[in-house]
Amino acid sequence: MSRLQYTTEMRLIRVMCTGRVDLAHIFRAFSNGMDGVFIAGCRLNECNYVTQGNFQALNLVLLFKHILHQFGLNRERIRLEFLSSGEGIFFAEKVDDFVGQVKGLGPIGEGEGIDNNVLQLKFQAAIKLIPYLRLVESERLRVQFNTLEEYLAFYDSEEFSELFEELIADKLAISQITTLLRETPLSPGEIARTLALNPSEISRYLHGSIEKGLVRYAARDKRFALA
Amino acid sequence: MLRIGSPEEIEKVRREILSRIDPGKTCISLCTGSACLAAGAGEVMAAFKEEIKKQGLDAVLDTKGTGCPGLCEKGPVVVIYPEEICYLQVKAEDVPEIISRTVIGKTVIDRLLYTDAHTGKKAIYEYEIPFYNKQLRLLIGDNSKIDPRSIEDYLALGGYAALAKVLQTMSPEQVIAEIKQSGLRGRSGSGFLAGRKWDFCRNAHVEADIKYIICNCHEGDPGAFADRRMMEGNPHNVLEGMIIGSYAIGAREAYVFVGDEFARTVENIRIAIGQAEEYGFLGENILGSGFDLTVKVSIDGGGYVLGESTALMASMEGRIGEPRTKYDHATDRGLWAKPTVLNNLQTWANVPLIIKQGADWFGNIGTENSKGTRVFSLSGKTNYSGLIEVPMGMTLREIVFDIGGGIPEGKSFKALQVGGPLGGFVPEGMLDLPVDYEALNEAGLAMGPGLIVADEQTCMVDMVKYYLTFLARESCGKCTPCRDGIRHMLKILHKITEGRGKNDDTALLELLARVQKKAALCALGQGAAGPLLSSLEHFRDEYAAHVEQKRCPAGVCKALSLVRTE
Amino acid sequence: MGKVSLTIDNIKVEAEEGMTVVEAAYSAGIVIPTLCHHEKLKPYTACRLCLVEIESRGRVNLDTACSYPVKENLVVRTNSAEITEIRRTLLELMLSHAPESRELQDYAKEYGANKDRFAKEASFCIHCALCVRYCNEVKGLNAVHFIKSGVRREIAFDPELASRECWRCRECFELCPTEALQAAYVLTEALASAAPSFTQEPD
Repeated sequence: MSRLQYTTEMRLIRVMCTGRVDLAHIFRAFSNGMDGVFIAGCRLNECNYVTQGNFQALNLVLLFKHILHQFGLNRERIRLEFLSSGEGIFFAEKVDDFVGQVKGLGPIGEGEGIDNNVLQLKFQAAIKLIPYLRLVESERLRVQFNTLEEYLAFYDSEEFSELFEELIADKLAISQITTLLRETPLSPGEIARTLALNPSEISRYLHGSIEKGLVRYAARDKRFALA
Repeated sequence: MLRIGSPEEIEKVRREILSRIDPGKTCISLCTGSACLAAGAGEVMAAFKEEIKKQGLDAVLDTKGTGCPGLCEKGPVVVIYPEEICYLQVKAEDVPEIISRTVIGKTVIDRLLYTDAHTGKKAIYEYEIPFYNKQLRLLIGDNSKIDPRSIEDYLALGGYAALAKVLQTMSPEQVIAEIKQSGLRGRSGSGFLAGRKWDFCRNAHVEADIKYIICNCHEGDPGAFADRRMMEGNPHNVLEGMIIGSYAIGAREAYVFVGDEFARTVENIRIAIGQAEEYGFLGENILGSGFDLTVKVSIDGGGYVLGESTALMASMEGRIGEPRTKYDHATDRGLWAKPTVLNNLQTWANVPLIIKQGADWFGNIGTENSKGTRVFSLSGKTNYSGLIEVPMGMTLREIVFDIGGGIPEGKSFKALQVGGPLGGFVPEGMLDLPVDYEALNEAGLAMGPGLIVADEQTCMVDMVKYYLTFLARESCGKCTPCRDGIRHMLKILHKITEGRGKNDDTALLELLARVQKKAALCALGQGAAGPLLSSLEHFRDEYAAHVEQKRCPAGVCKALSLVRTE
Repeated sequence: MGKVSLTIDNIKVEAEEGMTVVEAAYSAGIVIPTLCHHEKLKPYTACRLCLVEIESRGRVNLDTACSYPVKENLVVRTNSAEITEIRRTLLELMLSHAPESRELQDYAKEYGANKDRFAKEASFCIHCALCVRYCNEVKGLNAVHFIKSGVRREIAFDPELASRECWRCRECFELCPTEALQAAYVLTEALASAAPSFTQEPD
């Protein structure tokens, strides 16, 4: 890569293929306080090898945007750009553009009006679920198309939203609730306020968690606690 | 009360009870069935009691809280005996007037009388009311004369005489022969000959130290309330039938399987069982015959699928209430793997009648293959709704128009829903179908207890969606065609009723329905597509309107009504 | 044990008394498709793939071959246009949950099932219940069981039993034709455990 000047507010991590980037890496970056994650990979359908791992990265990033949204964070905090190794200037431009955009969004959490402790809790709750998320992503959500447009259309569709809701969003919320209850028993209203989630959804999650033996109702305090 | 020691003694007790009844005394019978109670019968009763006390009329006026006489939508229902004057929709405020003008003054109060929806004609006496006199009320006709919590009322009207006859003059085999000859068929929809089932159980292929009988009072169909109201209104009648059946089969333990949510029905059965034990109709050495029987109430878990026999017995045994594939009959290996006869309560209710009047008499009522009467609950878009009892062979048209009084507000009839979520729809052109097992089966319908009338403002697609939504929760979820079939059928129906239907959706629905009917594990799955298939056969144009023109002809599906510009 | 002779697809088969139609057919080299059937487990008759035409005492009915006991002079037909339509539709319903499943894909090819006929379903469980039944009948535990009923029915691990027993057993994992079991397990493991942090390198 040519040694062109670009902003120093970015920490660079080299991987041999964007397909190597994993949910855990992205979560670690954000939970460690990074305000944005920029992934640059080879152009689609131009893989020198047979593996075409950049499609995996595309699936991952498009999925992660939905996860960011579920946390109440701006989707633009993660970006995936396709370029070839010779396009140094293009790279620098894109990076600068991304950094400028992220700066405009403000520090992560704070910029969206989310309390930092709550955000950390949400990240921790999600990190616990990484083995599950990996399995679900690769077995149920990953799709295979030829063009970028088809990918964008799918991840924007109602069909995807429904699958995401049931497979990921619900589980993330339940994980957040059980993590919260680990500290102290709480009422549904208190849970809803802390996590900024819909109270009627909280009821549904609590009910499901009771059926699964994860949560119990402490009648004396009229609160829910870990089972 | 000393236990009655022999069948002959019953007559003595009966005469004693009758001697205490003053024929000259007026009796105000107020229906205290659950529906009338919900409409305020409790307050009306309290008002009567207070007024009687106030005016010091105890010597000439009695009140009685009775079982359901049938005209449920017009409750609270009051019948004044001995004249049989019938007042409808009685309120507590009407009570002083009823006592002063009718009981004492012997005049009628116009506004409380039955008014014919079409002619405006009024009827004073219960026997003049077309809703009642077009029925054949062999089983429920006595309901307004009986307090279901009083065994004496039942005895006064001839109760337990059939049991006496059986124990005095008939062997178990003779009882079975009589029931067989009567042609009584199981009233839970399958229509299997009751006598034959009892025979199989008595002569089970399995050596067993104990046999069971079960009374199925789990009425799960939404909108049906016949079974529970019958049991609530005259539990002793069902009990007597069960005792006779147990004697015939050789069972010494019987269960009534009933839902906790039918609170008053459960209370009434429990009271009746207690009374029967007290009087010696249950327990050891019943009436000196050497035959023992205990009857227990088994509260059901509440799922619709528990009406299916294998799921029902699994639930009673404490296992999960899911149907399972089995190849031996319950009459060989049923409850706890012992020979068992499971019959609907309406079947048991017919037994005392058949014994008293004889199989031939019973065989004269009904059609060639469907004998006797059938109790239904008629509701929906009908002028008169409630509990009805009709002879087999009466046409559905007569039920809807002569008994039900047709459609209110001048709207037109569209369909009659028969058989609940596992049944189907009868359009106007097929209304001459008779109430008969074979005739209904051939038309793809089951003889469930509920009849619901739909008018031009009912959307058939919406109604199918309603039934499938019900079944989506009630399906046990074990087998693929039912669980996944219903899931996808619902998804497609939601799309159709929200204006997103596609042209091949109807074909897809038919495929799912066809496969589910053939491949499902139990009767719930096999019947679940009934309303769908029936609606596709008779109301296909409604589906076409929803899918192709994005229009709901009945104006029900909100998403589509907004699309119209008219 | 006595011998029973029956006819399967016009082939005379000598079977042992007490065998099911599936076992008798297999012994004669006729393979009937199954999913929820397993030699170590009691017949469950839930997937309905093994439905065959059974003619007995003059009546012809569809019934599950995995449960039907062989009888003298039984006539069985394992294929017909009707049966093919049923199997294909059942497979398509299951494929809407788990299009990646090897077992389903093999059958799908054979019966011409289209995995896109029905809308995609989030849950990949096809309710063969092999896991639940194995744990119940072979291991004598109920570490994984069904909760909820009807269309919302799903498998769930008991968190306490799972953390105590499952980590060293996992015998049910290889029975699952989809990834549903593993997904349920890792989910329960995650939700029931304390929050890990990256400083502890959980994986």
